[in-house]
Amino acid sequence: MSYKVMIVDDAAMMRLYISSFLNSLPEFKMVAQAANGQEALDKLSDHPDLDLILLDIEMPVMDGLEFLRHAKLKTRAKICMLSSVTVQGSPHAAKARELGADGVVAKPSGTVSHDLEEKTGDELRDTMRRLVAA
Amino acid sequence: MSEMDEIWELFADDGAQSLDAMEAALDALSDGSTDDQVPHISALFRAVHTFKGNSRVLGLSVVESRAHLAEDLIGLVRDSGVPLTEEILDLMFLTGDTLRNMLEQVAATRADVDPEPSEDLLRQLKEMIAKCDPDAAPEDPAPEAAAPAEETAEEPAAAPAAVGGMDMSALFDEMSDGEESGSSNDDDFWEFDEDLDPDALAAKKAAADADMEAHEAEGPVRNGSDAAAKLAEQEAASAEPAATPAAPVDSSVPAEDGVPLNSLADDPTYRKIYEDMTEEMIEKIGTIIRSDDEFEERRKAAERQVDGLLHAAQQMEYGNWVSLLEDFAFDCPALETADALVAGLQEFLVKVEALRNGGEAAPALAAAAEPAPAPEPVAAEAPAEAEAPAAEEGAAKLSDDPTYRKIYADMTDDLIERLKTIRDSDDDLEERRDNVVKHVGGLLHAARQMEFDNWISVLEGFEANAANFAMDAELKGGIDTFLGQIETLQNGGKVAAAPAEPAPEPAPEPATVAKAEPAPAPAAVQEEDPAPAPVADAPAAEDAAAAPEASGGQKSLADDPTYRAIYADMTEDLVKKLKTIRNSSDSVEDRRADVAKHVANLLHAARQMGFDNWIVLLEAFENNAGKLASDAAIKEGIDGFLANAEALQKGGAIAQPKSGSDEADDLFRQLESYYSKIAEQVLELENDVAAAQGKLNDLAEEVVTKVEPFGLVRAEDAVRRIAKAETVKAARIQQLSFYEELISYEYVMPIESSVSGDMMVRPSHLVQLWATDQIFDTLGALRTMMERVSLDGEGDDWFASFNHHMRLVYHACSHYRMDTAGQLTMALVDLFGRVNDTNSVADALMLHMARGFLETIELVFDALDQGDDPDLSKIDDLFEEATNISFQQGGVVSARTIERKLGLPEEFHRVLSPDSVKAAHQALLDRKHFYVIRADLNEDETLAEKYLEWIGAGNAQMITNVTVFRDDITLFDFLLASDLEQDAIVGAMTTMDPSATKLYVELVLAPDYSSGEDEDDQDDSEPLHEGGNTGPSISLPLMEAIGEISAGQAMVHHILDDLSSTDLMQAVDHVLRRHGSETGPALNGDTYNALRDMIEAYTHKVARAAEAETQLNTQMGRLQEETAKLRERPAGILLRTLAAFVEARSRQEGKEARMSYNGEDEVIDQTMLDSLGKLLKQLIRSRLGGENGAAQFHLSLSRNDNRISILLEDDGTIEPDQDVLQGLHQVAVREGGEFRPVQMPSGGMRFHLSLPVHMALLDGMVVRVGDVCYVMPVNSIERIQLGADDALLPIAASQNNAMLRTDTGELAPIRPLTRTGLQGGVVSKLDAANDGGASNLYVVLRSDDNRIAVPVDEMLGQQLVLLRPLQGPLVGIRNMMGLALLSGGEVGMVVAVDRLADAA
Repeated sequence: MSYKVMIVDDAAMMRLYISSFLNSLPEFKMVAQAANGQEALDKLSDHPDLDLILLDIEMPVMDGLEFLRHAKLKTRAKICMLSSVTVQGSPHAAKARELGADGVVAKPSGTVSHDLEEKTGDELRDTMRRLVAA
Repeated sequence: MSEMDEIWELFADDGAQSLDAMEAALDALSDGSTDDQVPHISALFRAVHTFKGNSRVLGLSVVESRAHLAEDLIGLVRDSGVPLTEEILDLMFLTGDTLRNMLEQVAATRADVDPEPSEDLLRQLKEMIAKCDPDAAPEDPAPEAAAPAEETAEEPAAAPAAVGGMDMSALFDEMSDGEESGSSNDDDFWEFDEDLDPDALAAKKAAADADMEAHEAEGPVRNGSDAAAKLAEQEAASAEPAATPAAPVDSSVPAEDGVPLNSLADDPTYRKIYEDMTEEMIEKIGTIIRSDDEFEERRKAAERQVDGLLHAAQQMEYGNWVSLLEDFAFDCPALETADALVAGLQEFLVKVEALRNGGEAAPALAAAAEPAPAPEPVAAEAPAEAEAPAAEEGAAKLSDDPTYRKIYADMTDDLIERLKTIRDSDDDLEERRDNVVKHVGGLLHAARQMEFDNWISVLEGFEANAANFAMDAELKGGIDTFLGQIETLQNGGKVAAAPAEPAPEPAPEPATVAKAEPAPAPAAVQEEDPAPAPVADAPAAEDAAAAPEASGGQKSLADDPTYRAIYADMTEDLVKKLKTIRNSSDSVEDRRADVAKHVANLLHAARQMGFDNWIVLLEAFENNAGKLASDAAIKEGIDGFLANAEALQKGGAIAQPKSGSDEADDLFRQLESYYSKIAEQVLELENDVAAAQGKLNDLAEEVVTKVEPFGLVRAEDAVRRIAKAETVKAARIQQLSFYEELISYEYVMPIESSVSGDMMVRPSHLVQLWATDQIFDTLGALRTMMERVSLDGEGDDWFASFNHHMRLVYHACSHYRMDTAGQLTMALVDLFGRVNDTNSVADALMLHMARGFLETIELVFDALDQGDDPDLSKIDDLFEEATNISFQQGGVVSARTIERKLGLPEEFHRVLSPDSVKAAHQALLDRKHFYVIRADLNEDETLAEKYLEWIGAGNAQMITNVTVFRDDITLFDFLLASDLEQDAIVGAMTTMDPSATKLYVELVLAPDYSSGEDEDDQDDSEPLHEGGNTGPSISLPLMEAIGEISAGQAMVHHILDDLSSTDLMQAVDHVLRRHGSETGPALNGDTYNALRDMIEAYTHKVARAAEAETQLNTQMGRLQEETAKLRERPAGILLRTLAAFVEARSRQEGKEARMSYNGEDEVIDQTMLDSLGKLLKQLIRSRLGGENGAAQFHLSLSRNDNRISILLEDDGTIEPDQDVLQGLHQVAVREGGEFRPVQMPSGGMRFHLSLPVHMALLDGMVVRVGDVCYVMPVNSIERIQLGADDALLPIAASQNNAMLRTDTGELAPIRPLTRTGLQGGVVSKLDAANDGGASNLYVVLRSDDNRIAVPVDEMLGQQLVLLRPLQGPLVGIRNMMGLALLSGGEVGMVVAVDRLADAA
């Protein structure tokens, strides 16, 4: 059995990188992706059994924090922030924790981080595993 | 204070200000430092003018006359090109000084001054004026007791307008000058005026309205004295005075034929002032009658009194009074004897009384009333003077006065010019907008005084709109429209959109729409108000807006498409601003303030426009804006407002609150009863887990049935988890989690619901109260957790508990609206959360930061607890530290340094990751070029691949990238570093995207390649080390680890020392020789030499390793020292906290207890700090209780080498709580300390508490006694000496003990230390000798006045050691204060010199 993951990120390239990273982890499977918070919110009802949402913050239409606020009321899926502005201890990271983010990881090199797997892969993998296991 | 008192006080204040201004202007003009004299001359003129006007109001004719001439003189300089000579300046200085003296006298006597002393000044001024302008040689401008007619002729601008203690003409001068229209004098004036009785205002307004058409048809007079003169003639011919009441007591009598009046006499306030003045004059004259003073003096005093009231009567236009007073003023100089004076005064008082009682003055007096006819209708006459034929046609008003109309016209022209200049200016929009508002405000004030209602409407409308001009075009358009309206008004027309002047006008606010206000409730508005949508493209709005006015025959600003367009623009602007605020990452406080500010602007405009729906919406939002306490609340509030605003813009109505919100209200109300039930059962877990779980399960399922319809799945899970908890602690964690899920829901509710739900127990309030109530327990728990945290990681349970407590701290911060503190709390949760998520361990920096946070936030809550303002500056510093922690951990320069060095645009601020910073730093060192590439790649996969391939090929290094939104499209700005020059980069981008629309160089950066980052970074990380002894500490486990490393290192040192001191070659040689002797030569020469070389090489390496280790040894010593210092804290932290605790705790008990203290500069270990804090709080709490509890404490803290001593005294007569005392005693003993309560004979208690120091750093001398190493505090060592036999003196009386005679001749008892270390106690000299370790080497130690000699075998040297307390069974070792890890890897026992000496 694989854990079902939705990727929410407005950068198409980043969705590709994350998706590629997920493919390297057999226990996770990407089942949905969205380019902004509103789109993701709309898709929640199509995926009631989601296990994990990897969530960017800076997105058009509805940003990640706003999505977090609303999604928390609707889904049991664990929500892990994955953004360039969630460097540890940063105001965005603090805000995400305040709003109930289950995990927070920072992209290593900006909103499009081609080196995600190389530099943050371990941290992201460990966090994801811990979240779905909790 | 009576009104007269106030007036005199106001006069003194204003006068002093005027004279100050005069002096300042003269200083500026005389020191030659200014090239442009004009502003100073104007200021000088205004100051003198104001002073003069104010003097006249109070009838100070001598003062006024001097000021008047000074004004004339400076007027010649200002207006007639007379050069400002030294002579004139000197004279003005003299005038200033004289007027100041006069002011002081007048303020003290409340009467005019004696003219005599200033006659010379008067003469000089006249001469100077004559010299400067022979044609204008002045007559005496206001001879003492001058007739009103003379005044009016000479100073036509001032007489009728002097009200409220200020000179109207001065005010106009200031306003027309523009720069000082907002002076405090003006404010005082207008405030005073507006405070008038509403009835009086209404009467004035009605009178003004009756006349307004005629006056405004003419419009204010434009420039040109001919026109002014012509108008003056017209006014003189047509505007006969209206009737006025005969006497002040008859103040409420309306004008004949019901025509409303319009003079000061209509105003009850002024009437009251006049009555007071009359009373005062009567009293003073009575005094003069009875006085024994010289006749002449009494007569002059009487004249001054009468003059004063005469002026007031003229201002009030009381004809009968003017007649009476003038008569007396005329007759008085003819009274030549004291008796005649008394008789005349008595007769005068009789007439005064007659007038006051509503009678008339003697006909003779009345007949003499009118002196020379004035050109203006200055004096509104009494009914008796029925010859006024046109009384009904108009009351006397400022607008009747051509002088004022001329001033007004000039001001209007001035405003027009200024607005044109502003319109065409390139200055900053905000500055221009402010200038517009300022200048328009000036004319508006004047218009209100003149009661030009059409002007008031136009000016008010424009003033309101001008404040909101957000664009250049808007400002220009607004000014043009306004200028057009002014022109219409100037030409005698009316502005189409301005409301017609009602007669009488029902509302005091002419600019508001004259229609009934709907009920404020939104529902009512929706029914009654046909949605006056303000947008220009909503045609229905015009009809809707016009409809209510039609019946009244009135129009409003809302009818004017220009105003509607402006309003629509303002609305759009507000929507944009609110969206920006909504998504901003600024603090909640800042955003809340921004919301309130912007909403207030549109609200003002909506009121001006009379858009009731908008007013209701904006008022509701403005009211709620102050309650937006979180990011979520702000977002929800703005969303709700924007939805309603959009509906209104489209011509709809304000939306009803979402039905969901009502349901949510219901949900929270339904849940209210469960909160306490759940809490109750959670506590029951302590008693009966199974039973409590069963009940909690039932409750949880009930809650789930309530929550389920809302889809709050996480809340369901959380409440069920409460039921599964087996301990109170675990249940509490889930309880908070449940509440927080409800809070999430609360925050996404529409704001209307939140507002209406004030009476409901909202989850956020509940949690905040919970968190605040137990904040000190929470912080205590966190402190304990942080003390116990180890470097090996703590696991899920630890983090769950940490997270729980920190969230409680966060909610408590929210309760007090400490946003940054809340953010910092969650930032720390984030830091530790990541550690937990990745199974890693917290590093020293994080622990250090968390401890610093706890220390700081406890002080903050302590301050709040006692109602003080907490110092939050440290919180800001810590938050900054938290934000930068990843950079500190990575050992890289800070993001801010890179931002600064690269000159990065705003979008890259605060987004650089440590990796990005590291990459950028290296690229800077490599002196690469930096570019920002704008890329639109989301929809073009091919281009994206090309671009990333190009980067991947090594053409450039991607430092970072950020998202750039263009509407809903996501673009990216890539920050690249490259060796390529700009043209090559541009070429590459163009090759990939020939259109240069999806990929192009947005910015070429100009980095600062200088290497100053180290200093900068040091600054960034400075707070870590700030204050050294006062900063947050390193953890206990880390200290342990350092100690262990130190011990390990000592072992290595020992081994290496051993290795390096062994001559391996000699040993090998020895072995070989012995072997050879038995079996023949073992090795031939070559082999032997090769072996020797190898061994020598090896030995050499060992020696090098030993050298390296020696250096390491030194470093370890320093590390130990530093880490120990980090644990040190000033005792002040403890003492201040306790003092605060005493106050807060006593306040809770309805008392006011205080604690004084000393010893705050002592330095103690952090662990000690915490231990003492707990013990002392417990003790203090027990002493505060009850009626006889202590009200005063004094705490004295001191430290010697090995102990902290506390002496706490109080004045409570309450019996000590034995349980508490027993508990404290046990704790103290367990810690190796002592606790001793003493009942004081005078009442109160004294408590002695001493505890051994913990983890102190000690400068010690290490000695060996037998097998044991001891450490003696260096500062206790008096000397070290050899004890020759003759220096030893056995003391027979003291068993086998002996004394040592020191080199200086003193005797010191010998106290040998045990050679086995088993008991740590002393042994006798004899025992020591028998032990086989007798030594003649002695260390003489001194404690206070006690001196002892301790025999030792060997001095091992001085070391800085870390003193560690004796724990467990070791606590019982006497005469030792602790253990120390020595650099050789051994453990040394640290001698407690005082105890050893006491035992001697």
